[in-house]
Amino acid sequence: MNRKEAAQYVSSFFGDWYPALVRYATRASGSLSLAEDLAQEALFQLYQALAEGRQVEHPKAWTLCVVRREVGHRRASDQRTGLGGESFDEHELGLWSEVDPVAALTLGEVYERFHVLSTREEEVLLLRLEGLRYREIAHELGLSTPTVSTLLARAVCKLQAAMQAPSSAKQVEGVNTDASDTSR
Amino acid sequence: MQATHPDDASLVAFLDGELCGEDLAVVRDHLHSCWQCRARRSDLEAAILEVARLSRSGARFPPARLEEARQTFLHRASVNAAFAPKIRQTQVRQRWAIAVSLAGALALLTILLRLPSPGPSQPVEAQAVLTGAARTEEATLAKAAYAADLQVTVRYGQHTSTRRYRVVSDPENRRRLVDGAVIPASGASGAWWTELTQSTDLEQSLAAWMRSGQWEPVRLSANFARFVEATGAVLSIQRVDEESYRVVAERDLEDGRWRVVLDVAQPSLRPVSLSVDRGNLQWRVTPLSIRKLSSKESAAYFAPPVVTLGHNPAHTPAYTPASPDILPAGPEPVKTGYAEVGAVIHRLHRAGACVRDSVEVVGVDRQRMLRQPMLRVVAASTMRKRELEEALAEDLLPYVELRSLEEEPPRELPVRESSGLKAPGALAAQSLIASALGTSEQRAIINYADHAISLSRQALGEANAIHMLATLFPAEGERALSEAAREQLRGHLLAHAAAADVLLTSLDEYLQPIVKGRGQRVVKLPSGDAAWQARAVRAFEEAQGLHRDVLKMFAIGEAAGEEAVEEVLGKLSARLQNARALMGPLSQQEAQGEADSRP
Repeated sequence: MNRKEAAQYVSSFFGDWYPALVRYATRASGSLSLAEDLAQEALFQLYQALAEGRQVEHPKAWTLCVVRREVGHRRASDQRTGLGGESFDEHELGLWSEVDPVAALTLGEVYERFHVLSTREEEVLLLRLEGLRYREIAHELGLSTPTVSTLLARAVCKLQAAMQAPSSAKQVEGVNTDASDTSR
Repeated sequence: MQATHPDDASLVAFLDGELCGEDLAVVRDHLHSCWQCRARRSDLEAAILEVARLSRSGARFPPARLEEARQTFLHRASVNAAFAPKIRQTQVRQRWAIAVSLAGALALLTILLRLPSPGPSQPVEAQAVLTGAARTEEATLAKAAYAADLQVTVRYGQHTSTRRYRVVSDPENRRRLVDGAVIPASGASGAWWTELTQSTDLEQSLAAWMRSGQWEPVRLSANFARFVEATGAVLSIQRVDEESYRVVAERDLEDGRWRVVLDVAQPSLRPVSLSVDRGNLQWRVTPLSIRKLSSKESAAYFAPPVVTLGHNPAHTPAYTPASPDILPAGPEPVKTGYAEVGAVIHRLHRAGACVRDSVEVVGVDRQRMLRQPMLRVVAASTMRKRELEEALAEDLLPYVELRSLEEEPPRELPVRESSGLKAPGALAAQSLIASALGTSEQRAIINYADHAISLSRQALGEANAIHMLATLFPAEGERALSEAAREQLRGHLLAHAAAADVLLTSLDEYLQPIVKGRGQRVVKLPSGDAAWQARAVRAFEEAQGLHRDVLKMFAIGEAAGEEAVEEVLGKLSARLQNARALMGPLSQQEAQGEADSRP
């Protein structure tokens, strides 16, 4: 694959994989803006690997691992320099919720729900959502196959629980706003 | 069969079709028989559907943002592709082989069929390529905050230094930070770079260009165009291959030829590298990567901190020995966490920034400090400047706008009239000082020193005359002097005394720190300046001694009459002999000159 083809190939990833990767990176790094950088970096590294003629069996899993590694590096360097301490930025989420008000769930809310997962759980879930087999996930993440199924089941349960809780709260909110609207 | 219910993990694996063999059979059989587990399976299936739906909704990324991300990636990829000479070369080589065979076949055909040969390819203008590249860069960089990793390699003689910069720039591209780490390749230290950048005109202009706010290493082509325009170089263009141009600016200087080369990649006209070649100096900037900066990262760089600094608002023109040091004492002179300011102040302090150096805070917000001068330091003299430069070293120097008084615009220096004497000599000295101040500090000191020496010598001559008179007429020497002659002598001495007084008052201001500092290392002079320093110090001491004696002579003479004057003159003569010996080669040369000029 030459550089042009590699660029084309990776660029085709942006439609479906970039958002998921950003979301994962957000979860791992705790910052949406940093996550975009990480996702960019991961995809760029993928491009470089492909352009150099390396074989990448599961590009999506590959980029996920790159993000995880990068987050680890950054955390280590933050600890060294005493900087960092990034926290999940509410302001960013506020921005993002404005982006797509028509959606049933705003991007921010989705991010919040995925927040209940551990990074490992999210990794496994993401890769499963991408259609990878357990064996492949296990290989990519360096886990055993039974661990994959355990993590996956746990992730599904956690997400289900998380989805039930705030959605009911939202309904209550919705009723309230409706009531206030009619009272005007 | 109900003994062990399968766990969630097994159920999920079952739903995913991941179970096989015995495991599969066990779970399947169990599910057939167990309603509870079947319900759990349905729950999990519903949850999985929900998760899939949630994930899809999360994929609803703002399309504009997505597109932007894609463009950023493509840009990086293209920059990277432009830096892949090996791959490109092999491709070119393959193409070349194909082209040769094709050309051979075509030539044969042309000869056989006498086809008209294809016309020459469209000529390309260097300026057009340059403008295009500059525009591309501007368009790319103007939009967003970005971080660019650059590699700057400087080769000077046998020294090679490779330096990696990270340039961080904000959306308005006004604020930037250059984060550099020097990686010396062959025993190079920081000092030679400073010397190098100050050695000749071109290097100076390059250095100035790099240090000025206009210089942005990422904006290679825009800067290149500006540079070419400023230096009036001749532009030419070479087409390296179908994927890149090379724009070359060349100029002959008196001491050689220099050559600046900008490589531009097609089709986007993106600049790839900039190199300057000038004999033993080679300088090359290569962007390694350019990426958009996240808002958080950008905020971390550009957040304004609060800085409280002590500085000297009066710009300290007057010297008083008792005036407090401009920098507050103690190990923590700055009440701030802002590292660079603290470091600069601390190092200035350690270098013994003396009272004559003025420190002024230019900007206290971070945006001004990003590799922009934030402290304005006016060193008392050129030597002080060098010393402070040394102290600040390469790492902190860019944060300081360092000048010496010499480079300062001329300003009114106080010329004190400490004595009430008004005489022609004093007025002449004053006018001399005024004109000397119009030039520059160092020159002024030299002029003072010269004039002080000549005045001392005149006073010496006059005193010698009196002394000779007194020696020639030992008994009635004083009485032999007519009233008029005595008045004349007195008038001369008075004039010189006044002039010396004025001069000394001014000299005092400049030379006191030097004289005081002998042995205390207040001023460490480079070897080249030792001569004039010594001369100035000598002149100062000489003039001071003479002045004191002349005044004393007057005082005693007027109080005690002519006999006392003679006594004083005798002492003065001995003292002047000593002074002459002290002045050494200088006075010998001049005495010789005087002797030669005498008939």
